[in-house]
Amino acid sequence: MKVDALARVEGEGAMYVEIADGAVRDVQLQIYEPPRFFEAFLRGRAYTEPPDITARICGICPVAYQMSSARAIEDACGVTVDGPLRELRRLIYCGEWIESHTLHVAMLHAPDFLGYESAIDMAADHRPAVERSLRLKKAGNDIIDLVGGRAVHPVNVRVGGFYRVPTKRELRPLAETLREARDDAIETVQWVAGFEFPDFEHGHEYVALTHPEEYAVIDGRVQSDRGLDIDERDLLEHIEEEHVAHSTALHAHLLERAEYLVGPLARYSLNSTRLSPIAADAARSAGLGAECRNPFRSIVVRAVEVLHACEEALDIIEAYEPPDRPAVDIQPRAGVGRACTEAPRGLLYHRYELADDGSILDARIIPPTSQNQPTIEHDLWHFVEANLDLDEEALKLRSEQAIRNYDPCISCATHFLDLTVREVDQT
Amino acid sequence: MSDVRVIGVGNAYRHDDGVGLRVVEVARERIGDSASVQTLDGEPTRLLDAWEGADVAVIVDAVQSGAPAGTVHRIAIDGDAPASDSDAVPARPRAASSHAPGPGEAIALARALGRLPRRLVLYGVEGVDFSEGIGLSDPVDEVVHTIVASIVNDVRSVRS
Repeated sequence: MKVDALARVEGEGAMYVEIADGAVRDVQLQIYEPPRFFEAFLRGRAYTEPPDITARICGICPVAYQMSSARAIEDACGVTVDGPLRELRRLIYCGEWIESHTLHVAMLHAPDFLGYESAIDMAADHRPAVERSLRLKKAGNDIIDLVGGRAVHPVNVRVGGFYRVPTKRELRPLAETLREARDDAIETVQWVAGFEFPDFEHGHEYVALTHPEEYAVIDGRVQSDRGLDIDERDLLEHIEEEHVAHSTALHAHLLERAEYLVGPLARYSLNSTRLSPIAADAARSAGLGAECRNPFRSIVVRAVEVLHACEEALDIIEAYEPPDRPAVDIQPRAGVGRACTEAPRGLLYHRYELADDGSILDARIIPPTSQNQPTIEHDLWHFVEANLDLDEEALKLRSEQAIRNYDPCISCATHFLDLTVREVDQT
Repeated sequence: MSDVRVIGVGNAYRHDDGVGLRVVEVARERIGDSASVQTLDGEPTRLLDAWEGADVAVIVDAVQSGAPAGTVHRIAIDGDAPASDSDAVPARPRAASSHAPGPGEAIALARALGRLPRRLVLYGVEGVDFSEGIGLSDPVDEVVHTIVASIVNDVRSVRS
């Protein structure tokens, strides 16, 4: 039996659930993975091109692809970008977190909690909340527009830094926008904290970047809540990838460990002590502890991360002194470069092998959603099993909501999200 | 002077999904300064931002409704009028973007929030190949210049 397309997930994908004799027999998230196409497309291209090309993988998180690719290529060329250029990278990344998370919180996920089919239906009854969210999202847009040259598929990012950097004066109006956005973000945390959350917790290993002084976004060590602690460059060596029949994407597992989770829940649980002051207060008031293991509460964690990003962006703007030059000079050389950054949906790893003329011999991209895919399937399995008493329509809606907890970026990782529930009659 | 915006929606790396981008690229030269031209990925709230404050918005996107490839659906909406069946832009059949929601959702959301431009013209171009890769299929490529001519007329009719 086929049910409605699962909307309100970025892009497209398919979910298949098989139930027989009152038990879940199979859960499959069917994924088609564009990064594979882009990996092939990048071979033979110049080392300068990945930030612009990989930004096209995802309309919602182009900055993440630009940052991971630029840093991986800089790693191959033996260059580290720091100082004001690193701060500008963190600033544009804040813009992407604000935009992407707000879109998911308000337009895709909130309707689940409030009982609406879509944000369109919700807008009539919750207009102030929708308007507030649109303002907040626009503030994220404005950051990307100013630092990235335009809001969609920013063009100002390059290996080594930027083509042009903003002046202090140009950033000033953005600070005003962000002060208002911060207030909107506080209200958004309060709004979503009042939703009702199903009683459900998982025990997955949480993996995220960590940084001694920051709520890690742009660089750091890859750590887990169960003792994994590796250089960000070594992620691939610690992952075991498995082809599964129902998906062209690879299922990622940590070597000699189980499935794991990247993204807001993992980030928050590993880094909550490094949240900015107002975000930390808001998290406490919203009932979040030092870690969060209920995926339905991920909507609250995202809202807290938006607030954190607003504060962080304001701090960066206030302390900003323009760099001497918009980019570090980079000379290509033969070698391999690897880097991770925290895309809104979690750890995004890029690896490039360059020839001595700087042309790309091999490219490898591991997006967050393919790392989370086995975990989403695992959660859905247990969630459906615990809710088999619901009628099919209610079960379907709850399952969709359970998938949306992870904000799977389907344009990065999957092709067409239909939810199919098949009841196997064995009599 | 009226504020006219021409917006191409799509993903150039998904073959026919890039038709909206291709159309506005060609249209840009012919329109000149008489309208602003931009490209978007179709995410609905970005569309709302893109036409905010516009008198007229012209949107071009790929669609999949089962009609023959290259069929062009043109739908004009009066932003001040209440929704009626005759101007219903289908949220499904949806724009064939690699992102599920598209202009149909954006129009519905804008209407709910009172954010439609005074007049909105949507060109939906029936695509056939949405696999990964660049370049349009022949039937879609063949209608690009026809749509451009029609958009130039839309812009001129506002100006005159």
